[in-house]
Amino acid sequence: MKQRQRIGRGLWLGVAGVCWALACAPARPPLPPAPAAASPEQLAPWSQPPPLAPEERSDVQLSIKHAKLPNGLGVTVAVTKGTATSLQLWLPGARDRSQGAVTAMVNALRAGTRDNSKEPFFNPRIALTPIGSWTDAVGTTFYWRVPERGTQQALSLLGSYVRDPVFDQNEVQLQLQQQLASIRGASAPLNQLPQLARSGIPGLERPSNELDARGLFHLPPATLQQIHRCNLQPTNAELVVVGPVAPDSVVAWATAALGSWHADPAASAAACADWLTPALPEHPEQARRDRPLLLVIYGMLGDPWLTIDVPGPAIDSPDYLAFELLSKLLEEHHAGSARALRHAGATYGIHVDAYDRYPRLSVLEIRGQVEPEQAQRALRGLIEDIRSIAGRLDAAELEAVKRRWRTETVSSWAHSEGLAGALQWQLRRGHDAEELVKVLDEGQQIDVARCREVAERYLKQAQPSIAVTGLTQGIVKGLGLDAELRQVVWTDELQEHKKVH
Amino acid sequence: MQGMHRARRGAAIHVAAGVCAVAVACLAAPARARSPSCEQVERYTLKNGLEVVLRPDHDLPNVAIVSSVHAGARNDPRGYEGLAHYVEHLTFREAQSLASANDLYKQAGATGVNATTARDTTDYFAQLPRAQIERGLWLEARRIAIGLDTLTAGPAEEEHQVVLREHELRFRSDLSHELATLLAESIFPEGHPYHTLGLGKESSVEALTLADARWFFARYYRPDRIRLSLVGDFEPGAVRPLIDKYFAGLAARELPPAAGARAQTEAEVVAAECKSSEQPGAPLHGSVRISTRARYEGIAFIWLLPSSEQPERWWGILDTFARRVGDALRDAKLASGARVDLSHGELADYWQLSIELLPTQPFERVPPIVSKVFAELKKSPPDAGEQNAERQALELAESRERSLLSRALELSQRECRPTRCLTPAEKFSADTIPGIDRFDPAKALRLELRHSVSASIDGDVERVP
Repeated sequence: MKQRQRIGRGLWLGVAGVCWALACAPARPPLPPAPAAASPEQLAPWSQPPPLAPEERSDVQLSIKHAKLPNGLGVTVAVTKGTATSLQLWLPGARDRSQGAVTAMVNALRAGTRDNSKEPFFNPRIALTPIGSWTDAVGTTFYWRVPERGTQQALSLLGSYVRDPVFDQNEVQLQLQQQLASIRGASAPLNQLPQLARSGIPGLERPSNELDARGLFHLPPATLQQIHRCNLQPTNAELVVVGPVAPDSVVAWATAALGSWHADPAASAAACADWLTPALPEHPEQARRDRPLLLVIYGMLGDPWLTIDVPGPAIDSPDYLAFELLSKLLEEHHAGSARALRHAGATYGIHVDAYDRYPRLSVLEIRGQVEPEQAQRALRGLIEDIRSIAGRLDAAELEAVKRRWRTETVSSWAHSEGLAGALQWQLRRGHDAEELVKVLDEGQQIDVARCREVAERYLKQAQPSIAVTGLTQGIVKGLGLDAELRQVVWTDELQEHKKVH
Repeated sequence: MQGMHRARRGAAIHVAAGVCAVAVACLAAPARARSPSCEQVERYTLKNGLEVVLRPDHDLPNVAIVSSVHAGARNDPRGYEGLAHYVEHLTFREAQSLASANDLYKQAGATGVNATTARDTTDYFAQLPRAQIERGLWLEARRIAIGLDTLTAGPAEEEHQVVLREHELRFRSDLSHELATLLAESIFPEGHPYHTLGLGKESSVEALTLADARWFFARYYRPDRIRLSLVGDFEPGAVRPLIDKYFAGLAARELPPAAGARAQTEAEVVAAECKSSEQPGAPLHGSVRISTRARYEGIAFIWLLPSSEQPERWWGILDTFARRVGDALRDAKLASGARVDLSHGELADYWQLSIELLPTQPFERVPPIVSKVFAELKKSPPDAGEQNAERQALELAESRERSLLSRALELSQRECRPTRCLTPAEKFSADTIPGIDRFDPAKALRLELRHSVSASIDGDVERVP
């Protein structure tokens, strides 16, 4: 017998629910009464917390060595305890605006690579673990966690990956299908909301993942070979190895595996014109919109989701750390909208982050879901918070935010993958990897005056790009924002942008 | 605040699998995320019954603190589903003149300040700079000492709205939560504490009051149901006096005994709760098919285990099974891999094999391939080489360094029966190979997630007994 049931919030269910609640439902058995509340005397000892202990100087010890191979590849080794090694090979040249051709090529590397004996192998594994990869706007990172005894073999296989791919036709099709599945799985409107909002920032305009994906099946192995030789080059690439390893041995293994890797002569500018992701213009963070952009997404159920984006300094700018602290202040500010909305029960939480994975700029991003009646207030309040934070900085709040930032930063170094990521971050900042620990002092030195200076530079006159779902026309009209409005209609297949005015 | 955790290991699926794989994985919400901790720790119990677990680690200057209340969603009275979760939220609210725990933690530089309401426990946690450990201990003791006594109706109602918002944000608009609810109902019989997922439906959450929350707090937030775990950079000798100072004076609140019931000690109550864990793991049958407009498809096979067993001992053979299934499905160009997960709870465990289909591949071809691989596994079990490779993978997974918080949370896990930590070698013991019969796909509950353009906007569910 088949029992069919519909989940959801259809009208008929709503009606049935009302009936159930009013007439058909069994009464809940009452709970026993709670005991009497504690007396004021009993509560008195809990009114004042113990005072905070004085700040400690940084005494974190990290053992890090950095070397540069003659072909331009950097090698960073951090020695830790444990029995496993984490490897990350970051290739800043192999970047992609969305899941496009470079991502497809990187995934298709699993479709055959030749080893030293020129035998092709597919999706190599060490201790049954394959190489992982991700590609975004700052490049491609291959990552692998292997037993310490597998470190040399892993480096050798990574070397083959970047030097001698095969792109077997059948395997390529499988890998591209897999990428398409991944894109489709992630193509729900909520997943796309940040991407849509960011696309309103000058320089970050981009096609959707879905549209990129449709071109993937037209990439034959020869084209993938060309994308590979155009994008995978050793110059400015960085290898980070973290584990219970001897730095000199790792540098020697890296030299053997990757030292003779050089740019392919066939990768001329002309031959690669179609396959290189264009660079952002100089100082995109200074390219402001003349007024906010409001992308209103229709076709979704539920209360409004909102994402507000503002461009900020690039990760290698001296302003970046202060900008990151400002994002945390916006989330936590006592008199700020994020906190007020949460306390009023209008949201489960408003989150603010500085996203640094773009070249030449970062993005301050506010996101959250709010109840419809509070949507106008939320949007107006959060934008006002961004613009006015420079004038509302509080020294005690900044100190608390800095303490948390420090705890969080130190905590991310507790495992080898986290430390490898932190070292890559340090290198992307243009800082010496061996001096990672100094970032703690760097953060400590940022004061209110410095934060104010950075807020005035990037936030005071912000013209944000905003993406929202679930707003009615009435709410949009009464919003009071002098914004460029665009409707985005969500269907099962894709997003259709329509400029309204 | 946060939802439930899950233990997850990749068998043969690459990391960039995306939301689709996550959705399939989430089909089976875990009873509990963590496997038993293998850490060498110091344990002791205060006179009021509060357990203390200490694990010093001086690598980095932080300390993770977890106070775990042995009461979770499974303790919600019938009709009050969501109550444990509401109480968890309320304990973070400002109460009259008292500053909120959140603010006081953050002032001290704490991160990860949060809590989870799981089925078996409610866990409060934070990570602090080592110098501020006293602030953390004081805050956790204060949480129990003041309870909800000073909370007024206004902030309680505001937090009520936040919980409802969380339902909308995290549960109602999240397909995987709906699927997990269906799965819990399908795996555990009516009356089992895990039969409902436990976070309540909006209707039950909507009806909750501050008085309900106060009763729940008084009933369950008592020292003999609390375990305090500390992992990180501290000296036990310096911390023990602080724990005594703040926790030793805490006492259970007096509740009137239930009419007609014999007064029980809390240990007897907990033992009675554990009765559910003695139910045998009945074979599961049938399928649950979910059609949605979401553009991903997957299939999962689920096996419930008798709770008297140590579920981790099946890791090796089931990982091998998943890898072979993944390879066969790759060869057939149906899927890119398969993986197994263990959902571990105080009262029950189950294993799940999850497969994400490649786009537009015929669904019906998958189960016969899984059955065929299973038959072949019985006929030619893994040889010494395959077993060895699997043990290496288990060893690598075991060696993964975890954050201080994750480690402290693992230590908060409760067990109805004593279990011990298994070594990677024990997780692939040759004597599990003959027992593989119990993981016959024909004896599993099958969960199918299908894409259909004609599905209702929220999805359709079909149960096939």
